[in-house]
Amino acid sequence: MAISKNDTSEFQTIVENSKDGILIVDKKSIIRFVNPAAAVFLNKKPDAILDTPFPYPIKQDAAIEMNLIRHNGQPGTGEIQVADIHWENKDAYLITIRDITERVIYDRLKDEFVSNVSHELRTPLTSMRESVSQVYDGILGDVNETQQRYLSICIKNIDRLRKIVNELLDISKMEAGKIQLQKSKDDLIEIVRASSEVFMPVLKKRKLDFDISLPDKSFPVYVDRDRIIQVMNNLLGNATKFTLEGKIHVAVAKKNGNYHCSVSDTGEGISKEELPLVFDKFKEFEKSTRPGETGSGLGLAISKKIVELHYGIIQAESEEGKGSIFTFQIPQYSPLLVVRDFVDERLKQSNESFWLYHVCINDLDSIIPMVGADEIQGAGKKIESRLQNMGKHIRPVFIEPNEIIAFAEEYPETELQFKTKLFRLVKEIYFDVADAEIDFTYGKANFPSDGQLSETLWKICNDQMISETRERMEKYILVVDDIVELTEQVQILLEHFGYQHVDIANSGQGVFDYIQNNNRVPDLLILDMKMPGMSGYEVIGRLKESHKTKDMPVLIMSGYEVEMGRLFDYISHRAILTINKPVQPELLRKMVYFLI
Amino acid sequence: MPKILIADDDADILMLIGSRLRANGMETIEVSDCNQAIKMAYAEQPDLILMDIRMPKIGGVKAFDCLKMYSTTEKIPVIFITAYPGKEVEATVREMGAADFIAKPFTTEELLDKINRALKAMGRYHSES
Repeated sequence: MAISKNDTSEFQTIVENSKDGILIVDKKSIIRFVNPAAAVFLNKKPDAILDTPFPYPIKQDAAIEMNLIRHNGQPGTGEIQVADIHWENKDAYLITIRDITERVIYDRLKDEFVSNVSHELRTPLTSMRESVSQVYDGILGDVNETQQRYLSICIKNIDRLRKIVNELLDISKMEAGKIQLQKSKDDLIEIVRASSEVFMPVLKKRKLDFDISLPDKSFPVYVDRDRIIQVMNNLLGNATKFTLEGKIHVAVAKKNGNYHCSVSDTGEGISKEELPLVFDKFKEFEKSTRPGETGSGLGLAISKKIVELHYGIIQAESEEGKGSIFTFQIPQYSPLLVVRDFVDERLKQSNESFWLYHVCINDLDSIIPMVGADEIQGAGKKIESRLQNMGKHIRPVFIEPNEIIAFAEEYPETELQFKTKLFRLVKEIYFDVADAEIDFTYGKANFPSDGQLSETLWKICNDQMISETRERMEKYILVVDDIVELTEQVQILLEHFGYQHVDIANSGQGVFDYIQNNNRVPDLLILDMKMPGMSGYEVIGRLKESHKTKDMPVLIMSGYEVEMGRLFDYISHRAILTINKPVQPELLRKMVYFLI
Repeated sequence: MPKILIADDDADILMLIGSRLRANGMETIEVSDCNQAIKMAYAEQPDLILMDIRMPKIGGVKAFDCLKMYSTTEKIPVIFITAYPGKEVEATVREMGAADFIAKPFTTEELLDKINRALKAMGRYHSES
């Protein structure tokens, strides 16, 4: 389905011969046009690319890196950029892929160089500091005041060099994307308070007013605590350094779903010319004739990077001679933040499809008074650790007592297998806590079919949530026993519980007739083991053989000892529970709740 | 008076740390490679070992493993000196059972503080600092 090429042949020449890859992708992410360079990069023939989904996330505001095959046949790195266009009367995307392999190699070499040099500087700095400070300390004999003064200049500058080396390493790692932020849920107010209090003695000594106005609340955020403290130390350190008299004011406020933290001072301020450059690297302005430690010129650049890695923004306002206000904002804690970091990290490692499942427990409020918050927290922890132990393809993303987000690769287990495992886990853990069935809703999203950006996937997981209870009641149950009254009894009970589709069979063969006649595999089989003709064991054996039925959950009804040994082969493949005859209604209800 | 074994292949660092510790009321034994470190640890039974991670012959980590194998030396707290600090190094060091680590370049206060803490943890408290 080629796009009508009604362009002039000159433009065609440009596009066909460009060394950059050019593609046109429609709003559904399907590739409608591909030029030869793009085909080379994607390592496929143009025919194999047209009308297939574009294999990378489509982001208008950011360039995305991906692996490609270069024109010389070697593997390399490419950069994708997206522009919005109008194509054949509809909105579409113009996507370019550029070979940036050389740039990436250069960047890596540069980072390695900075890293090596920084490390090499560390050992000589140690010897320098130790030898000079031992003389200064009088260990090698008396030292007069003048000598001490000169030696202290040396020590001070060694410390400054040390700081520069550490900060250089820090920022080069951050820019290389090598910094692993350890984010967790935390309270911004508490972090700001703790880091501000450290400065109180210093400000008192310098006779500066220190005004810390923090609301008596908590502002939950998703941050790497040490790094935010680093930002606060930088801002407060600067305010202290550049303020001779007056006051420093720290405030935190909530605005539009973000938390804003500002550090203002009545110091010397920053000129109009220098203000736009204040966050650039090595911009230590000539005016810094302050006593005390001198900076490296990297502090604000590092702070900016840290704030940006937290999806925040940092800004500066200032008036020369009057003072400055530095403000940074960070988003409020939300599952989206956790999901976004998780998905972005995952997409860095692989493009394989995966599922996100979002489960919301609805009646926690009614359970909590009876059970207690600690037990509920414990339930959350249990869920987290069980999910972690389910195998490398399943991972917990976000676990709060009333909200669970779990991730699963599309292979090796199917979506249904993952969903079943997840739901059974939630039901089991919460049944333990609440001693009752819990009601929950769930949403799900698949990458890449439902979307390719973490925000999109989250929106889908969140917007279209389904009630598990209602879904369960619509499932198909087949009750099988040669004793007709018994099957009817169970059927009546199940319908009383709310199950809408309960059918009956009276023999083993009846199971397969049902499957054949209705062209449907039941969601749950309630099965008697001792039946004339085909026994329950045989039924289970035959179900195991077919790919369509091998995962069917089975509830075995038995008035006799079930020969579990005969079933061991099959138990690992699907859930099998047993219930004794005569069937107790509450027990039946619970078992069906778990199995289906 | 606590006895500290210092192992570092850089002669300047070795001398400087030695003189600093002695000025703070500690006895020191200085060695410049791993084999010497193991030998002296065994012979002298120091209260603490300060060991550079990167040293010639078998390297600080292997030397540490050796010390862990002998009953007479396995309990001696070891503080690693490294020019390459980072969360990974920190985790490795703790996992291995070292008492602590200190990153170059360090200040005197840091060094003495870590030594005192490690000694205290072992019940061999040194009151001067």
